[in-house]
Amino acid sequence: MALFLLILGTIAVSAQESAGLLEGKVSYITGDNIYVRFASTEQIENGDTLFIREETGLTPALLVDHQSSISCLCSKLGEHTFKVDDVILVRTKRPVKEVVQLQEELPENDVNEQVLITQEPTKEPSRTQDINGRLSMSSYSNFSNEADNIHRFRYTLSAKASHLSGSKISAETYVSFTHKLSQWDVVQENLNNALKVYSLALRYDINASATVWAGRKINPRIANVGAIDGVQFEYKFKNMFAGIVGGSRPDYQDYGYNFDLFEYGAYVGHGKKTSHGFMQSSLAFFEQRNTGNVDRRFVYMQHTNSAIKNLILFSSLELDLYKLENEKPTNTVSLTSLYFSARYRFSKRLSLFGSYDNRKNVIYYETFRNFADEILQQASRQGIRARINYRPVNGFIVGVSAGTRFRDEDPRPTKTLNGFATWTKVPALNASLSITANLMQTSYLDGQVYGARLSKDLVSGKLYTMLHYRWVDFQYVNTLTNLQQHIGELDLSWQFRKKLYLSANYEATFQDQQLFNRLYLNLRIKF
Amino acid sequence: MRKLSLIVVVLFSVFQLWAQENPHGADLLFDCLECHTTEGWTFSEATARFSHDSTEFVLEGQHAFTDCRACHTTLVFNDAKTNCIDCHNDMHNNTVGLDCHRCHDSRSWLVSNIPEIHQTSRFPLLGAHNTADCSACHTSASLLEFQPLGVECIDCHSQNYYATTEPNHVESGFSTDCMECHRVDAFSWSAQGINHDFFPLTKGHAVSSCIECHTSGVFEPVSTDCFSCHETDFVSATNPSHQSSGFSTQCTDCHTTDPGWSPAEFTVHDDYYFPIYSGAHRGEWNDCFDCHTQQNNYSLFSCIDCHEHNQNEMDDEHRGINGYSYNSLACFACHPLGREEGAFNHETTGFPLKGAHVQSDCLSCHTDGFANTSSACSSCHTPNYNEAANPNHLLAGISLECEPCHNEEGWAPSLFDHTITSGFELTEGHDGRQCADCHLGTTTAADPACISCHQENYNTAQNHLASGYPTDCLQCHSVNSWEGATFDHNLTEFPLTGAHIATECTACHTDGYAGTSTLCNSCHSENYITALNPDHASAGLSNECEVCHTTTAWIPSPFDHTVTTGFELTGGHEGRQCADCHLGITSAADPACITCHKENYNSAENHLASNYPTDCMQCHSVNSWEGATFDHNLTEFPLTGAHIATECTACHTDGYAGTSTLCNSCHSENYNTAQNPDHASAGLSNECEVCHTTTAWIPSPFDHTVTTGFELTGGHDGRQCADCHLGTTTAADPACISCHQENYNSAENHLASNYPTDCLQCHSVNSWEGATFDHNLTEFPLTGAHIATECTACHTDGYAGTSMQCSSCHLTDFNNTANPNHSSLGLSVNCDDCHTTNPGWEPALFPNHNDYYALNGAHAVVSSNCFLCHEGNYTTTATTCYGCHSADYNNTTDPSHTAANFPIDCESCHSENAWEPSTFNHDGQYFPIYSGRHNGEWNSCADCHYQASNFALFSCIICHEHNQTETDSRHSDVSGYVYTATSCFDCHPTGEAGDD
Repeated sequence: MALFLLILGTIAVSAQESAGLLEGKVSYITGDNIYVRFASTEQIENGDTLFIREETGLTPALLVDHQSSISCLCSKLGEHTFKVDDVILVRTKRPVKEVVQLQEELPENDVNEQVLITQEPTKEPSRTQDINGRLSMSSYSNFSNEADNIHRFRYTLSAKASHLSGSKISAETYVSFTHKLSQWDVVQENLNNALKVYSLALRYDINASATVWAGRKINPRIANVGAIDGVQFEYKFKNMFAGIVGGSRPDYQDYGYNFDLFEYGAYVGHGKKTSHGFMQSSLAFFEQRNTGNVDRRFVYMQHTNSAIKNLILFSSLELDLYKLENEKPTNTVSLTSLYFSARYRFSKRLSLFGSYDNRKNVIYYETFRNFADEILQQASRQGIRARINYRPVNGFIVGVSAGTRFRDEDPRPTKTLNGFATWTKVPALNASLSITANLMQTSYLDGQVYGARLSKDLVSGKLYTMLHYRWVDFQYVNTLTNLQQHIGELDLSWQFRKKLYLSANYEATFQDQQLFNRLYLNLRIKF
Repeated sequence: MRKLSLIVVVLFSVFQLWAQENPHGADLLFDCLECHTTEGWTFSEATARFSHDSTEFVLEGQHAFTDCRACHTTLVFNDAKTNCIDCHNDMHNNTVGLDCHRCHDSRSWLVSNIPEIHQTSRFPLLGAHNTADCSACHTSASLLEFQPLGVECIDCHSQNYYATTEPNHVESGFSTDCMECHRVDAFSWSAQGINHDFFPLTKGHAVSSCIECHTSGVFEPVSTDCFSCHETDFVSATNPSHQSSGFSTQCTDCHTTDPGWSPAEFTVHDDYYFPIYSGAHRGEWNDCFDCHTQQNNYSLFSCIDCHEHNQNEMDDEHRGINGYSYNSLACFACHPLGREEGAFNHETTGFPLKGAHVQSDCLSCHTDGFANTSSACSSCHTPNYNEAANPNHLLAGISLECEPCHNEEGWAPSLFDHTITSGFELTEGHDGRQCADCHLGTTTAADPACISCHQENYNTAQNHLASGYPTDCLQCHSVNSWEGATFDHNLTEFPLTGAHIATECTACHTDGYAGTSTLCNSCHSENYITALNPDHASAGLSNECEVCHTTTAWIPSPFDHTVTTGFELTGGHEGRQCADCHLGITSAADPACITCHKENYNSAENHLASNYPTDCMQCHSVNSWEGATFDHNLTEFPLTGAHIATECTACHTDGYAGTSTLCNSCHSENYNTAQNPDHASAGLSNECEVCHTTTAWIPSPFDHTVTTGFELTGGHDGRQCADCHLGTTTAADPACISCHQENYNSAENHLASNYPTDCLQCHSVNSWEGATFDHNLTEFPLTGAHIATECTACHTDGYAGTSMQCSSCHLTDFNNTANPNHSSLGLSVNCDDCHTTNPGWEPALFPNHNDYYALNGAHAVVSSNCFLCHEGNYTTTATTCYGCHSADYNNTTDPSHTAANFPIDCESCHSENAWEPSTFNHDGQYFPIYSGRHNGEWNSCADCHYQASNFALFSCIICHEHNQTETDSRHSDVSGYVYTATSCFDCHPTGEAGDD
């Protein structure tokens, strides 16, 4: 009976222990301290006593001096001799939760061990393989009783792999696949109608200063060129950088590979950090061909400047150097695009932004030789914008923006005047409320749009909701009829975890007796 | 204490690492512990205190979940830029600018609010555009480029325009402005989307089927003219019969788009014809035939057939009204509005009836009706004109406008007055003539000049033509008769005065009377040529006689030389012939003496040789060359002081012209030979007047103090200028060293010790001797140990630019100090952070002790007693509690720390304030003895921990009153009960009976 009771008591004690004990192992031993690793030290505090199991039960053995998320730095309480992998126990104050933490996400070594065993830092940059990316699935649906329902789907894969296996080779890709419901024949007719490869390239770091890319990639230094299928080499020295590019551009009809569209170019730039920001300038020259004939030749300049306190300037200029007139090539200088913007922050409460842009459609003379429409649409579209934001008190911001955009052929210039007032923390609701007004005059209508938007994090950082209502009144210039719309929008975004994101956006438009629905869904997975 | 020790070690390590190189750049200044822990440099998001919200780039949306390295490509975090394009590729290839926020937000690149964005563009999405695929308009191959698009429909829909066959837009010449026919918010091109605003389909046109109008089934343009569709309705209409009545085919004249063609109203009848929908005739008719009695001609009407107004009544009512006639046209003419009131009154027209017109019959004028009757007289009276005989209007070409000569009262008498109208009075010889005698063909062309009618009389009159008499007949004749002609020469441009009155006409009019010159010379040239006093020709006098003569007589001439030329002929000039002075022409004479008297000047004594001035009047009068005088004070160089008595030739050594007024031009020798001071060697200015007057060279009024601001006192008094001014006085430098460099160089130690060159810091202007220097007037007053320090101890490299930084002199002290080792501790090299200038470096403060070891609690109390902890050794002072308090540890008996082998990190049980009370949490960690039932039930640790060397061991049964018997009896019903200490604790971990 006594034996039975003893066994029963032992079982009870054991059960009690397992319910209130957390197990760790000695991971490292120094002359003064013992390191114990746990799956998590969430329930351990400095000063806690750690135990070892002996025949008599749990014996206090270690005192926690410091702790990290998974490890404790302890000092001995007695004369017990420890060795690595000894089991150490700690009484928990709360029931032990299953710690879900993937082993591969743990550092290879304990941080303290890393400190202790790390060799002298070397000048050689570390090359650690890092692979990340995201997979996105979206659907765009328009449905109503008035028009054909349209459902579009878009799948994108974006990934980067740095220093594959610790080498100097890296890779990146960005691919999308788009199709409409019930229009699979379009995909079958030409896969490139649906499949768009925006980036698929390998990178090799020759050294700290020189890099070479091969494959399809948009070079951010000369993004206006678009994707380049070929080789791109860049060299950095001090504050300067320079690069040369050679290859072909994607097909102008389906964005597939088309090696008849040879192109090459070079760029040089200078970047400098100043006391208030950065200053960077770049100059690029490019020539694009089609079956050997010059298609386009241009020069591109860009300058960013935030050297003056509170002032950020950006300007870009693109000049075409080639023109085909009456089948005769000429070297001319004509403006293709000009963009200038300035943002000045008078104070933390008041900022002003202004921009001017002047753009023309890019003309590929050889490619568009048989496309009269493209050649004809060469008129400049100009735009001027100004925006001022003012935050009179914390949590409340008002802003006004005005702009005009026009092209010579436009029946009349477009003018817009927008205003908004946002109260970021509405008491009681703990939500953000924004009221907007938009007055416009376009080529064919005079309009006014007034709206109110209420947004709130239902779960902070996790679940975002937004309600939006707009009242629209369009007065057509050339017809007797007008249009009033009531537009309601509901947005729900859920960041399940750090790497999983789902959003749904529904918009309903009421006009006369008609109802139009729009639904956007997006699921994004990071890896 | 252990924690503190670790922090100190970590901070020290950080400090050392920092001293080596901050991997985050020099600008990142906040505490490392914001991101790191004492366990290592590895960043852990879970333990980091740093919030990105404190930067200018708040992490919103997906940025909050992005790996730091995606943006921070280097460890220098503020190298990361904040523009979107700095991290994200511009997939739109710069076609939409770089203000990504216009369309995207930080939650996702997915653009969910496309309609809202489009509402800020040139093209808000409407109708089918709302549901269209973006790529349908933005046709780039990548689907992500947004080149500028036109906003007119045809910019995108030209293919639709050209491809449409029903109807064929091109062949039909449809406008390319699609919105003329299609709704901008339509969802299709077909019927539902047609904008029929160009022809509103309302009322009768609200047809159910397009084909009712577009009968061909093809929507070719259909004329908007009513008749084009409603011709059949027009033809078949019987009441009235539109076709036979000659109605307009403009249906809208009578009809609206109301269904059934009714109500039909010819409302324009009131405005254009006669008020029948208003006024007295409203409701007085039933159908059109009431007035329009002839159905096939609606231009005809009758007022007398349908009215009650029979002729008898009308005749009575209109009795006395001139022109009244009982017929419909006359009714309408006088009553166009159908009212008795306001009936036609000729007074209201532009032709009120007066005189003979009052009694005239209306129809005698309104032969073609009452409308548009001309008010011109000739429209009725041309026969009267043609038949008029006195005068014969037609023959005389009199105007057809009767009213200038006649009025309504009668043709005769005529109102015409020839004198008033034409300004030509018909008197005497012109009286009683027929118009046509003078007016040949037209009265308006008659010329009032006599010759226009009397040319023949002139031609035949004696001498007139031969002598070229003027054709202004009235100069000599009257309108009465050609006889008794008279002429008054004074009425011409040449009135006869003086001797001309008695002169024979032919004496002047040698070539007739026309064009005779009025110039004197035309008759008197001979007088000019033969005049001798003066001889006009040789003197070159003007031949405009009237300048000097009158018509009274040639002599005396009124010419006054003084008044005319301003040059009075007095003295030697009186009585001279003009030609004595005026050679050839009088107008070219020069009033300057020398122009005539050059010869006198040349032959006068000394004038030419001494180059006397040629302004004769400076010395001579107009009376005579003799008695010449000269006043030097009238020149630019008045004679003053010593110059007054100076001989002219002393200055005018080269004559009197161009003599320089500069002092130096005469006194250069004085300048060169001056010795006190030596002007030349001192480089004094040669502008004598700066220092001298004309009174005398000495004394000079030059005041060195006033002029230069440098008073010549002390050693400078009595010096020659050149002692200081070497070469030129203007370049002298008031700085002592500029003159005393040599003294400085040769003075003891000055050069070697690099003494400052500001001499007055030590010396006075009186003498080099007795130099003084007060270091306290410098920026580095001497205090403490510095007072007795040799100058050279600090000024090792001279006295200029000596650093005031302590470390500039005491770096060796800093480096050599071993207690504590300043260098290895990385203490500040600013000695004054801890030390004063007191000798021996003591007392030394260490205000930043907390940077190394925070003095809290009891440590703070004894912070001024450094020795208490350091015992004179500042280098190896322990930073652990035990390092100082080992004796306390060893000597503690309750409990005996040594026997119990307590940890030596005192802070695990004690605070820095005091040893007691201990912070050891026996209650929380092990067993409640400071609370609960065991509170106050024990005296010493040994009551339970029976083995002083092992506090892990305890006993509940030796210290308790609970002896085994009692305890057993209380636990008789407790399963598994065992009377052992560990069992007590296992079941009663809080010491309470109910624990189990």
